[in-house]
Amino acid sequence: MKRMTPAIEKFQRKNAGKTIKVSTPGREAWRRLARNRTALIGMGILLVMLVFALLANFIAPYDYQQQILTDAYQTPSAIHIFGTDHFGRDLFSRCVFGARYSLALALLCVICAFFTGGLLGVIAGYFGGKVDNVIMRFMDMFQAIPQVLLAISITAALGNGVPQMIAAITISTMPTISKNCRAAILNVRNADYVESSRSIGVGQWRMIFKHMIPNALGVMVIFVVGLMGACINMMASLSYLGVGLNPPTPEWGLILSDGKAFFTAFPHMVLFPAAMILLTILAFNMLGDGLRDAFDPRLK
Amino acid sequence: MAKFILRRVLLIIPIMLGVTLIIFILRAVTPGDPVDQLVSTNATEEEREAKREELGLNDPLVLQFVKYVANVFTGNLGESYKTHQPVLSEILQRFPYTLIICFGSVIIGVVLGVPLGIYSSLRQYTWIDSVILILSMVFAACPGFVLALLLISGFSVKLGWFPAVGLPNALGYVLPMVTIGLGSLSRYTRITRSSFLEVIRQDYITTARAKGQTERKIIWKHAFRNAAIPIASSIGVQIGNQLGGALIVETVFGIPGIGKYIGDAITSRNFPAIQGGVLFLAFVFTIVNLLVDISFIYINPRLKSGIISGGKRKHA
Amino acid sequence: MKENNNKTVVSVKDLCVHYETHEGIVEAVNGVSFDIKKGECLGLVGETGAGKTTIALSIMNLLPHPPAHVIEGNIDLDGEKILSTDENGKVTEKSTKEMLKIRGKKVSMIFQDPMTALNPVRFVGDQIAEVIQLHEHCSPKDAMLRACEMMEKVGIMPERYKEYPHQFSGGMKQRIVIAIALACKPDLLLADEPTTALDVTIQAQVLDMMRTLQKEQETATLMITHDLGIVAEMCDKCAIIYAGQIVEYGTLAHIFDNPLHPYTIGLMDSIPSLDKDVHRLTPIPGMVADPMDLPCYCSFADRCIKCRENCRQGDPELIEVEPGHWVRCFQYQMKKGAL
Repeated sequence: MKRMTPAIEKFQRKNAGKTIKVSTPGREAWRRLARNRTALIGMGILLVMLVFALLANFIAPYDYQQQILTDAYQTPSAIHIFGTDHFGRDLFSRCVFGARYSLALALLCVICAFFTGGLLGVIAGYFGGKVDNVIMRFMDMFQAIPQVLLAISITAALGNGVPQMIAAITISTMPTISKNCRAAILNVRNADYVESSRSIGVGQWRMIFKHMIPNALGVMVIFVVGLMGACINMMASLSYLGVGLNPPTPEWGLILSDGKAFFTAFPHMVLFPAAMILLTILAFNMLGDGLRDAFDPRLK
Repeated sequence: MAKFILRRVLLIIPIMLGVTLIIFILRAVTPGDPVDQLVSTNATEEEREAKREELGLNDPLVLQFVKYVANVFTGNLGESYKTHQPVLSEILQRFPYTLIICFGSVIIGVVLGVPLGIYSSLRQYTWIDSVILILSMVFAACPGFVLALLLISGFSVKLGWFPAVGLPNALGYVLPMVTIGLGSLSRYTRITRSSFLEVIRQDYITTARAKGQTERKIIWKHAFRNAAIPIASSIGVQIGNQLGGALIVETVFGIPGIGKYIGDAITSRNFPAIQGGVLFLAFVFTIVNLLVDISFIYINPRLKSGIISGGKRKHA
Repeated sequence: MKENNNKTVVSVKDLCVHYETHEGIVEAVNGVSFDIKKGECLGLVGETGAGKTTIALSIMNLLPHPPAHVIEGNIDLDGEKILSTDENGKVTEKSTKEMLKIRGKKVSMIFQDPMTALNPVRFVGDQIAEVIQLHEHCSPKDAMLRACEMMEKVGIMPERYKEYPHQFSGGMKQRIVIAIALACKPDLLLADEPTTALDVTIQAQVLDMMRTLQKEQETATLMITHDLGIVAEMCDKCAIIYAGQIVEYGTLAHIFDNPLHPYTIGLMDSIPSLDKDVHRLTPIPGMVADPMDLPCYCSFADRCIKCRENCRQGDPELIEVEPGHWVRCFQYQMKKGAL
């Protein structure tokens, strides 16, 4: 029993504990995150995908675009663990390189989306008034078209290719990003601690960087993680419909699209890239959920 | 209140104007000459020029836009390059299929998703909650075309219960509905669950318990309407997802709805059809959002009295 | 004594409640006992985190499980055993089903924050009528009429029956909460800082109304507060609580005229007074004891100006220094023989 310990020992332990126990909100959130099983599984999957992406040249046993027609339509075996496609290309190698393409492209999309939509949202939230009104009405216009539909019509107009697809995804996700960033900034802008630091004469830039951004960061990180998953989903959908990237790029959606004609006879051509897409999106969603719980422990 | 609804209805006009502008710009930046699609490959330059003049492609862009808007607002969405039929009538012909699929998937999503979310939140920390949570997570992460392919391989190819492609009978609607429905079901489940968990720990729930009210009635009389506010506001986004999802699912299942119409138009670079289809779906989406907004007034009393008294009573 | 002919409404014995969280065990309530008789008002005074609300929720049997965990204790409410501990230390709580008949009828509670205590999407009148219909088994129409009566009693026009909580001011909302709590004439009312969230002028009105209704219905009341002024105005007896333990207990005269525990004396000294000519208030030094890390000696010792060597060598007991006046402090334990 706790109460039985000798007084002096307890006193010392108590004071010793005081000096170690420094906890910042960030560290607290990290601790909660490390205890969250969902988030850990998500991070684990993402780590594997990241290793695939970074070390694709070393991990992939074959060249991803080398066609060996004599090896076509092979089901999974020790030599080709994911099997081969109709051109005899090794599917495992294609999926591993696919991690590089899909993750890098999704990241690029998110960065571009943040530099357009995010920035506009922050500006709208920070300045308010007319600026806010104009930006938000502009976003309403884009938001009136369902997201996937907007992305598809953009790529349909611009044609296939990497920059076109990034543009399509950036523009179609822009309204949601700007609205989220605006809400995050508004939330922080009206908070009492910003008011109080303003009252003691903290400068505008110091306030933005020292107070507002760190506090809005949590919400934004959660949002970015969720957005990565959404981008991968949208990219794959575009490629599947034939309005994304051009073959033979080893993008997961494209690999799957290549295999769909043979799905009934050779399901492995579809199932493996599908699993990669599903796992990655799932992992991002899980990490996002974990982060949300960690930053906002009330909801758990 | 009538004033609010009227204002909200009138807001459709600038929004649709904006959508038209976006679509017009997309056509303007499209590389390649639209005339290529319309004239035979060995047409002379004179014939091409005549076609261009006929379509008004030589006018200044602003004039082209004004003409386009005037056409759109009078219901003229142009003529399909492929069939030379008016796009609007083609779309209206296909709309019922899309409507049925979307309606069915909304029903699946709301009717199953919301109760599942409530159940899950009431069983928080139990294995059944975990199972529901994991399943909804997986289905929410699953892209529509992946789910569609899996369902086809399972229920059409292996079991042969439903047709894989097309609409030989009403059963053909089932798999497309389920594909879109499962995605939205899992999202509704998750939203409902977290919104219930949030509401259930509010003070007024403790007040209701302190009155001696039963748990069942606390859920339905006190928690539900409060939790419904975030659920209802997500419906708009969900419908958007479903309309976009319809495009993919209709293409996979070969359902002759608007989604497939747009998909086919993209492959054949049939621009009036793409634009008309997107415009039409954007219009439907806007109307649905309008209805959601209006029904919202009835769910959230704060909003209602805010509207009646012009929002001045906020801090009363 | 005149109280003898009044029966005891609630009796709490050795209540001990811990919260088990990831960060550690919060020892919220550590052996609290008290009785309240019919028509009597007991003030429970203590700082934030002293365990006051936990005591009230234990009586309602509304502690959140998890993390709350009742270690031991007996709560007897008008013959109903809400909580009981047998000889083996096994704690039994009354089932939720049985509690349904007790909550709202025999015991009801007023919550601290009227802003959040009312359901924002239901008419205030219906929220009052709900509790009446639950316990009085009357028709919806009668319940509505009685709810209107209650509204009138707490000073709100019954015409406002069909309005939503956000249309009322804070003081008005608290009146509604009080109307809900008193609608079924409960034997025991738990008022958890009922006026903390209100303006001072509104506080006086609400307290005045509460006192009138309490006297009228002869409700036994547990008034939880950190404001000794409210205790002086409303209560008959007072318990000072520190770190989940009662450190001093007595009638108003005992506590205000002859405070004995250093903590009580400290509380009294930190109240501004009009008739004493002091330039500075005397604050109590140090911080409230951390309920996650309570010392195994007198929990107030670290802040006590009269702390001596032997104060850190064990837990003092609650002893009766004069009839009805109890103190938990070593100073008086030693003098006990002398008194």
